[in-house]
Amino acid sequence: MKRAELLTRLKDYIVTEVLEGRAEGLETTSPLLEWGVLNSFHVVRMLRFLREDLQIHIPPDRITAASLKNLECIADLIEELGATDAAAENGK
Amino acid sequence: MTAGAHNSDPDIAIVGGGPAGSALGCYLADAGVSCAIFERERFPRPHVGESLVTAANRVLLELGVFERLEAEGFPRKYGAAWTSPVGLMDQHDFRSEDLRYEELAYVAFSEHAAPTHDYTFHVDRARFDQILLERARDAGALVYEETTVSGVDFRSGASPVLHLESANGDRRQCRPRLIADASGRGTLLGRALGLKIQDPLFDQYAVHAWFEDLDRFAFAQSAEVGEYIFIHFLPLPGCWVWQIPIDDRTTSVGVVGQKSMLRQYQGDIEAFFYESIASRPALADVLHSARRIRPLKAEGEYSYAMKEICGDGFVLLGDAARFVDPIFSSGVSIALNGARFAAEDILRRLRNEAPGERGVFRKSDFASYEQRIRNGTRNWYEFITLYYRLNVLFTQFVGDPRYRAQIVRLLQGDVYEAEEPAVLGEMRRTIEAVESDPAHLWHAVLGELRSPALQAAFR
Repeated sequence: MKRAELLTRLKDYIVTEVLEGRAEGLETTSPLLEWGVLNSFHVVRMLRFLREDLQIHIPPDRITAASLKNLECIADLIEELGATDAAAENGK
Repeated sequence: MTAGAHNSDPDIAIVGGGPAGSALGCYLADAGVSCAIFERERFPRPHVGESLVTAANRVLLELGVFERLEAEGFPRKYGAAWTSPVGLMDQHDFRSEDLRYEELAYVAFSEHAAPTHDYTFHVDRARFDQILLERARDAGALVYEETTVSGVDFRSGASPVLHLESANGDRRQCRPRLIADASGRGTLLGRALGLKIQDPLFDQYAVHAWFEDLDRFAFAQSAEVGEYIFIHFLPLPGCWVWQIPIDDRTTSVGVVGQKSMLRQYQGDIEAFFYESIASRPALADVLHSARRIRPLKAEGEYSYAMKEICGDGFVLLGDAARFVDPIFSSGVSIALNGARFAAEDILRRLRNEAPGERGVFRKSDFASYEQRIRNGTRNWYEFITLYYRLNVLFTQFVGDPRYRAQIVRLLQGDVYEAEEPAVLGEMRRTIEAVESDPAHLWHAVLGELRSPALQAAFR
């Protein structure tokens, strides 16, 4: 998946599931935690979305404030994990 | 098969006519072994512990009781559900408007193939226990109700002595070859022999009652889920509520919390019950629309282990051997399967298939029983401890397809294998990751229950 597409899907998820359709000013660099958009509860639900819809599993030690700071950071994490998964697949 | 030390004495004296004692009585009497059950109460009598897990089915089927439960219309139990308010997840949000959102997770027993049925039962223990006790009596076990054990004596040689007292004050002695202690949380032998150790970690307390016309579907998303057992998390440390269907109109509701909370309410169990539930307004609303039809009852004496669960001339079964916590409805299943394992060892001894003195029970005769119970207890204990530590994050594991089947298997209760289920390791690793990183988003939501260095006896 291209990065732009990934960011769109993440943003759509946040707008639809967390903000109940209110996209007001949400950018890919908006501080999700500071704004209170993501809390530990919403993270549990977002992880389920990533797992079920994007087939990305975020290991528990990466669910940190730094990894989930904004949509760009989340996309970085997914790309890193995706690359690791792909490398693991190729290594088989 | 063999005579007791005196002609009138049974070979095996079973103390307590609950599920452990009655099931052992059934297995032994079916095999032609002379046995007697001494029960303090007259059945039927109410009892806590009203939900089973599917691992109980094997014993219920072997004893021909499963069909009876079906015929008597006990509600079928197909799974378990958990609810939590979002306020639990972020303490600073507690009682904010976000609290309106209630999260639901559930599993069905059918998700992991069970050996026989993909359901078991919720049981009114008054009726359930009576059915089992009658089944033992029909098989030939001598059943003495309203008979109290006033003392035990292991000093006089190979045969232990039980001192008995009946309701009319008659006293007599009984000299069996073996005492099977199924006295429940009364822990007759555990106390008499100084075997009992309080659990350093769990200090739970429960208050419960039956309610009529409680809306069991308030948090369910489908009619089927409404008949599951419900575990409602409360935003109080280690505190939760059970919701168990008893019949079409009756629901058992219990609050489990820490004993220190009871001190906070100065021992007032009514305040403990209602004020705990009031911490979750949506749940309190459901409860207040229902009518309580029995007085609130308290259960203490929770969470202990025994230094030994068998020895020369005795074996401990069910709650008399161990009680951790009621969270996963494992009690009756452990009692029934413990009786099954113990019966195998007893029959092996009596049939002289094991080395040793004929008709004399030594600790070594129960090596198989002991190993399987220790495996089961270790797995349950680990699961329960991790569950409390994970707190609401447990639902994360329930929702993860990689672990879901393993969790269902644990919840089915068949945990007597030596090997630890892999999901427990994954839960442990998650807790460690979250615990060691204050920047972790889940750091604040872990439960307060910690188990840094538990004694081996408690695993």
